[in-house]
Amino acid sequence: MKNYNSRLIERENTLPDNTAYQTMLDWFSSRGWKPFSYQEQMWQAYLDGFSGILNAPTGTGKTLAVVIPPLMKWMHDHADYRKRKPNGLKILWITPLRALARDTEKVISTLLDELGIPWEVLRRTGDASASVKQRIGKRPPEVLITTPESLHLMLARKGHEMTFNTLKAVIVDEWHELLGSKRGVQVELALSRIRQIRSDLKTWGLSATIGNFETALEVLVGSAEKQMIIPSGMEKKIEVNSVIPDEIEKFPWAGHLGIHLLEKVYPVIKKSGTTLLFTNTRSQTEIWYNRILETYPELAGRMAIHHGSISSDIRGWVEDALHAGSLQLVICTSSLDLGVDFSPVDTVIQVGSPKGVDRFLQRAGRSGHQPGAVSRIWFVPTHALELLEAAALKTAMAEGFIESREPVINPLDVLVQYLLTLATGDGFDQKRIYHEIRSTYAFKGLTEGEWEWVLKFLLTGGNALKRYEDYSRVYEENGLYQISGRRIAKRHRMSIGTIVGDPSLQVKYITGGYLGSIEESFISKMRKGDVFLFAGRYLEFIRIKDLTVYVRKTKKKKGATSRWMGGRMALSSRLSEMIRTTIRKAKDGIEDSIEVKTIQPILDLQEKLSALPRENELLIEKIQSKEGFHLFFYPFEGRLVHEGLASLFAWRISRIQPISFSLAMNDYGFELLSDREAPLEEAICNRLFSADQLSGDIHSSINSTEMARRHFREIARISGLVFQGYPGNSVSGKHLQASSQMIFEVFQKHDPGNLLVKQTFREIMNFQLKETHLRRALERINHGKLLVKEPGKATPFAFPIMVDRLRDELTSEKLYDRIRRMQRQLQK
Amino acid sequence: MPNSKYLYIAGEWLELLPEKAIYWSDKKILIIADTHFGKVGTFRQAGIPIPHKLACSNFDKLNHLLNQKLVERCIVLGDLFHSKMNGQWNILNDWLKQYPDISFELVMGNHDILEVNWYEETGILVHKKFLIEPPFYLVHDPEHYTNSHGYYGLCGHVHPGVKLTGKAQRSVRLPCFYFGSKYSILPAFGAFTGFVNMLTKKDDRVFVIAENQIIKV
Repeated sequence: MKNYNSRLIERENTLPDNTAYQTMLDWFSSRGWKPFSYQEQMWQAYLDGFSGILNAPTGTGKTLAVVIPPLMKWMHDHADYRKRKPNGLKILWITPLRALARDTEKVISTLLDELGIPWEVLRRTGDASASVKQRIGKRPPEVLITTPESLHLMLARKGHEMTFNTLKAVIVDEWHELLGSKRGVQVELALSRIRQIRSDLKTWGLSATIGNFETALEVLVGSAEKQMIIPSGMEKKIEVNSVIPDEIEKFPWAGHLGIHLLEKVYPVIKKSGTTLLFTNTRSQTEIWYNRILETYPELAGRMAIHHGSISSDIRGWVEDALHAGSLQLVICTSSLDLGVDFSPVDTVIQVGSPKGVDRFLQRAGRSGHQPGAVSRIWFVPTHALELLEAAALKTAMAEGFIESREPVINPLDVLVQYLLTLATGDGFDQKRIYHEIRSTYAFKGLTEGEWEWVLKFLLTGGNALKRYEDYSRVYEENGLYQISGRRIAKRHRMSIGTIVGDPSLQVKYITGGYLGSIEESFISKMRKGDVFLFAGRYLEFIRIKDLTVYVRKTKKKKGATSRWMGGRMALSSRLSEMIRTTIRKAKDGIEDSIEVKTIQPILDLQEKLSALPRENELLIEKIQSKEGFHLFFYPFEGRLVHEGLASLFAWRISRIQPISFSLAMNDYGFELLSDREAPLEEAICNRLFSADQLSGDIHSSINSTEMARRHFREIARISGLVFQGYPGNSVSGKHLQASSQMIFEVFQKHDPGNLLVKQTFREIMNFQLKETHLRRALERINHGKLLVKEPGKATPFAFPIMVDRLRDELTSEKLYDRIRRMQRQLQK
Repeated sequence: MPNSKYLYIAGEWLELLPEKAIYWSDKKILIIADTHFGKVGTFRQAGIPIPHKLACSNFDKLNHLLNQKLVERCIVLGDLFHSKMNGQWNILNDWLKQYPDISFELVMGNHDILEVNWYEETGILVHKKFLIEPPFYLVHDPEHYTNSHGYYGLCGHVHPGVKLTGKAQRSVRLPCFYFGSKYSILPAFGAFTGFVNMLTKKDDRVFVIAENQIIKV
């Protein structure tokens, strides 16, 4: 780790020499505080001209650590800093979550007020009003808080250079959260643009502890001469408890709600001040909220619900109430994962697997915000095997394990979107912009060939094309690439972003009042009079008009729970490893945590019916049921690796004889289901587990499954190939409706050189199938033992996979032969 | 063409072709629905780069049919051209000139929003609402079909498809020809048109198009 103290630095401005330093110290002591040493270290580093990463846990004043030094410098350089005058934009704060923006705004405004600096602080997020957005372009505030998407919208304005040409510092909050995603690439691109406008820009990232700080630093600050990482040196104590079911025999083997443990969860809530109850999905929050309200009506008025699809007004109200300490319980999803400081929160409950050690730690850190306080987290298993995860999590935490976040490399879909953004604004000069883009970590390997393809794709729609009289998106004039017309510009501005959801509709009361948004795929099944659960209330569906769902309140207490799509998270590879170890320890009777003791009867049953595999063993179970022939494999490698292994094995088996499989998987194993018996033994002899020709075989296997087509949805959306329609303008949207699946098929057939299609496959290999992990898993299988069992009925391991209805398909049979054995669905 | 299927309906033999067309050999009529020529152009005009080759595939398919069968009239059951004017209209016109002996006719659909005289200038015979060709009543939208004349309906608009399910939780979705008791719905002829699942009744006759074959399901 680069350490600031180990370097010899020529100081222009040491802290004691800075006239504002004393003012700051006074301000701290006026609140009864004293700066932490990491805060002073941060101030000094900034004054010395460094960019870098500050590693500070939330609740320790990290906002003050990074905001104060640019203020100090300003106060030092401007004796008349108390006078109100237009200064232009000075500090740009980028946050991954809108929920964080409000909190940050409050902290900074208070600080400025009390220091007597008459600066303006504004938020520009998706929620901002049109007039605020307008004004930021014309008369920017000194401090602007924004998201990566909103920042790109600013770059899509004409004259964006004017907005940024007074900027001193960019602060990226929760950088670790952005780093591993395409939103991180958006930040990199925006920074590459702003650094051209302001060459002496300082960039600071705030990050939780991750395993690869050096990379995180390089991605954020690039080639800045002075760069460093400042560790806070503060550690948080975390106490983990599991909610243990009384009778494990009656505890379900599968499921994800966890609601049957409510009785045991309630006492935890009751004896705490304020509790955050985290679930993994938005629909789960709705169910928990209503069940608690029904069972414990005394909590009415003191509990609330918070998730990403609820309107910002309601969310804002919940956040304010959390600050004020007037709520006893908030049920939430990852929407409250990140940095907001709610000091009244003293207890966190996690329902269901958090899927990774770091997410669990992060959620635990939502409680016990006072420095030195202990964070308390309760784990509520939703099915029996999750107790194994709880035991594994505890071990991982005891060993002080940290996960890494790998940055996204060369995402051409994000590049296409960015270039359209620049074309929508002032237009771009392709030579200049090429250099800027190559300066980012994500695109430092961008070849000239790829660059030319992207430009051509924008200008003419791609290589395959000879006649393009109809095509219009971007045109070139005197070397400047510009957007073709207002309609395309408008459409592009509405499509900026890399978070892909189902097309969403607004939910409004028929009498007025916005409640939030819901996905089309859920609401399209509703008919007039149907009741559904949303934002914690039962609503009656009235009609859909202009992308708005009109509802009214209802007294009925039964209805569908709103569902949102969104990828299911997979277990991290490190936690998977821990689980394999925990199983072996349980088998050998040397694991004595309460979780494993509780689940022991189920593990015993698994062992009796089939087997408990050690780390060097792969368990395979063959079961026949009325659904067909099931093959279960349990590598315990996490869902993503299983998805790849399932396709790979299915494909390799199907090469021996024509056969169709439906595939299902979870974090522990996967299932191949067929209507005829699969030649397993023959396949095993025929290099079923071989790591040779892995890439080729995976490529062929995912070619014939839905995976690539499904993943293309994200790429098509980011690169602007599919469009969700203007609000209130659904008719003209309809002429442009095409599913990303259709476009994918067309590209594959008619435009084989399309780099976005290639990117789809590459991303699947890297992020979804995790090729390197897959290879390691195969090697582990190859060097270990096989246990093939025929348990006769579904085992505790098999059951949760068997009931999973989200299935992939892989076939080597002729379509005609398959149809012969199928039936059409009839109207009831 | 061995992959086609003959169907006896309303006293006439119709041939269902895997190219998603119906050939009525007695009358030498080729019937297709929802060609959506110009859809590729509409997308491209909006900056969505659908490859141009795709548009050509529609013409290739029609050329193939018109060369294989003896056709005097080619009737399109609506949605001939996808919406507003674009460059592909000229391509369509040039293409039509290759077949001076065939009468091209359009029963208008909801996407046929160009001026009527534009169609007529290109030599397309336009039927604004419906066309009666006993024993058939040809109309775009099955909701506009009326049984009052006692004729059997031939319609488009829906882009029908069905979902087939089998053992081991497997399923497949395919475009289809639908023959109900009162009317039939043709699959969309045009490429890049997609299809939607229809729920059918037991007595309906449904033929899916799978890998260039027509299969009764």
